[in-house]
Amino acid sequence: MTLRRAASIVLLAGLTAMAGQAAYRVWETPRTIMARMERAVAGAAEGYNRCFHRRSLALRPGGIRRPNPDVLPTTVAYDLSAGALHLTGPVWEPYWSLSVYAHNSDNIFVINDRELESGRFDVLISAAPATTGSGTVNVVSPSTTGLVVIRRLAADTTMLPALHRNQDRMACRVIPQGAEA
Amino acid sequence: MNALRASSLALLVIIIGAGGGAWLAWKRMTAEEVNARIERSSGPWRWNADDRMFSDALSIARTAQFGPFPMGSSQVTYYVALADSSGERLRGDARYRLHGPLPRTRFWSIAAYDETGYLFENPAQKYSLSSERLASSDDPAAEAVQAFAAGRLDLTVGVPGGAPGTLPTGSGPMFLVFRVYQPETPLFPGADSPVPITIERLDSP
Repeated sequence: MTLRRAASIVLLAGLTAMAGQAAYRVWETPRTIMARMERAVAGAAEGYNRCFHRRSLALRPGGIRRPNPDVLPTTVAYDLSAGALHLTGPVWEPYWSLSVYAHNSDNIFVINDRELESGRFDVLISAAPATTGSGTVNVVSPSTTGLVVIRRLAADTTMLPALHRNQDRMACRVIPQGAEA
Repeated sequence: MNALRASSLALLVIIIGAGGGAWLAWKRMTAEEVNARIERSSGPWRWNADDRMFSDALSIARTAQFGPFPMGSSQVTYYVALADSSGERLRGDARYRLHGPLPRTRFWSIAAYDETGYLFENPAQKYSLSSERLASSDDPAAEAVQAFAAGRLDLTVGVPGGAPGTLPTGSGPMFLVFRVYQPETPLFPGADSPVPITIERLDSP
């Protein structure tokens, strides 16, 4: 092997390592951030598939960047390995939305209160299409884990007592595989 | 010996290459890079259309790194201002007047962030100005509340305290995010630009 050929191979290996590492970091970054967030939410809620309600509008040091100061979120870290996650409850009239983020942080589903005529939400997140009742919205997650973020508008602290009651009236439960929502 | 030396050299090049790749990826996901990639602009406001934040792997990574869990454009449009209307970088230790017509939307809010993307701590615990706050204000005589009732947006950013229509900030470079929830089309009917809200600097630090 000539010196020139060996140098070319080494250079190519270096460039391949650079491109591979860059691509891996781009792929890995959202998943790492999501995994951290899922663990944090599950820790705060004392488990996966459980609701964690933020109760206060006070600023929390650290946390995610560009936090939204207008809403009080309920978050659920889901894990569909044991079954589907069924979320039900009343919407919050001033503004309510439910967003589902897959494990790569992609926003795979969103719905708001004005899109629900009944004033209630009934959402089933599953790993595969599920048989549901007529009023249930089925969201199929491309990943086993992810996050649900429910946003309720909280313009100021005077809204909090009613908002807390609204939070407490929602339910999260796991539907075992094979059972119907 | 030569083979050992060549192998070591090859390993070093691969390690340097991998390190360079990680650096390159990190550089493409900084706040400056994210803001530089915002594709549309009107005066000081910049925004992405068509849910570009989820359009490809790099955009998803940038979104996760700097402003995770956004909602799609059917729910919210995020207008970002890094500079005032004269092109000067926004600073937390200056005062600014925001002025223009009200957007046609379910509700809107404006929040100020430091350059790392965090809200400014303040004793009034006030982190945004919104249509809801102005609509429910208990001070109808306040200038901002009267302007709101008349269909105009007239706000002051960089003012300590909790007076209606004012938002406390802090020090150092900052940026504003104008969130428009469930926007109608057009957002500002009859306006001569897509986002006709000016940001005028009132004083220097």
